[in-house]
Amino acid sequence: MKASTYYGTKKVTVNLLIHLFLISIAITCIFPLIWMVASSLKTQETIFSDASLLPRNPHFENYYLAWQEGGFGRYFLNSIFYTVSVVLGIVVVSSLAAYAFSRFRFPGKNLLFVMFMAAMMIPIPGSFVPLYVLLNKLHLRNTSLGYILCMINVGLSTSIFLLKTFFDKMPKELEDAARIDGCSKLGIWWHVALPLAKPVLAVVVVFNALSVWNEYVLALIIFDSKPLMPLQVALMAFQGEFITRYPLLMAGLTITALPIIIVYILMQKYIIKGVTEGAIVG
Amino acid sequence: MWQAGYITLIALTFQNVLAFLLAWACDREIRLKNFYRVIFFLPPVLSEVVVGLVWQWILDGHYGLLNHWLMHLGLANFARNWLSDPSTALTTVAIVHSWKGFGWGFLIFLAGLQTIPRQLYEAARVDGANSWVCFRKITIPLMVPVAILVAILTVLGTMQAFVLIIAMTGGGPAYHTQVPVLRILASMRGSSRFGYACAQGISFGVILMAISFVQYRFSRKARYN
Repeated sequence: MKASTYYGTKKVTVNLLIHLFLISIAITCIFPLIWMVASSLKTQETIFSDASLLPRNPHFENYYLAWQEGGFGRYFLNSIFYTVSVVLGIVVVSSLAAYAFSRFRFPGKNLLFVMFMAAMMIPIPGSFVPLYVLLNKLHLRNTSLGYILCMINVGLSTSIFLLKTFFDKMPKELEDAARIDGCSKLGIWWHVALPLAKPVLAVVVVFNALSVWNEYVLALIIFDSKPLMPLQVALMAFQGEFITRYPLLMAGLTITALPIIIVYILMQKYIIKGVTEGAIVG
Repeated sequence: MWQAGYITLIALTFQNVLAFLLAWACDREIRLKNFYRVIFFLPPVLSEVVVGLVWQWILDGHYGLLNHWLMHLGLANFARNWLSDPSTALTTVAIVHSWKGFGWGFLIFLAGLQTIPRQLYEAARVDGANSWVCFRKITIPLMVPVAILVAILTVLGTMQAFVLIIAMTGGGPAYHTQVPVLRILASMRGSSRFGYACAQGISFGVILMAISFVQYRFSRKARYN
């Protein structure tokens, strides 16, 4: 009896300590974000003296100012436009390519696939200088199209790999049935393969959307003119120009981070699955 | 290069040990497990620009929250210009980098820990092993391949990290947080020496690929043993 209560209290203490440890780390994870939002609700005068987490009179007009004056409204729409078009491009190209790699026989198939996979290995620092020169020659630098094409290319290899692995495991009987019913190859891709691949497509969409939204370096080297910039580059430019306008900067940061946080919370199942599966594949 | 190596070293040790401890703490019948998992992976999904600028504001030398708190706790001598003091800038950047990155390691370690069959632990318990022996003789040996994978990802990710550094210090003070990628960007945009920048980029890329190749061979060896 005595022994069991001893083990009981010991277990409770251990659990308590573990929770304490986990919670303290969790707080450090969330706290900077709360501080960011809190700072965005203060004014230029109070932000340097007021260390409260809940400002007494929150100044929501910072968001209006950042959206209008800081131009974050425009950058926000730019980011949305780039993210949507890049993700759309990646989904169309990578699912077609992955389906072809998985189902068809054509000369040079293995070589092509290896080339796509090798592209995954090349680190970005080794490639962005030639990319810059190439885009210059093609007159695609400082254009939305140039950026979108580059970003589609960045996301392609991993997406093709994920989708091909899925298609390889998918039973062929359904496609055979569709073919007997007179479906064309493209029709099978659209009516059979894509709907079945929905769970993988969700991972592809979420991961690429996050990476485009958060992308910085390519946007930095491609865009010179402000009206074309996505949020990340615009934030850095804003910070460089108005170094002390912290409330507006924090409002801009909140505008940038909020969509990501919302998407993350809604899609966390797919994101966590994607990370763990990606790791096991690697 | 040295700076990138230093950040990588901190990321490899501090960040991954933290990630492993958290994963190990989460790998049991515990309430709020999913909640922790969601929270710990929050920093990695945020962009480096956002993370860098928020931390820069917290660590600001004059008005930053950290110094404010240190003053209030009576530790005013510890308060300093974290990001523009050459003696602390690099370590501060490395710690923020670890803050942003440990969620990856955590998720991968947790996934790895959950593949260890529970029967192994039960069998060891029956044979009279205590928690520490279980941990040392079962958990650690089975986690070696996962740890190597996390190490590869950490090294590759950290050597290429630079957006966070641009957002926090811009490479300063006096190049104390300069990393290879920043140098490449500087030769390209600052002085328009494209050939030189390209050569830097390719040699750096080759170094990275060599590192990952060595680690890959090493991990295959470890797996066979």
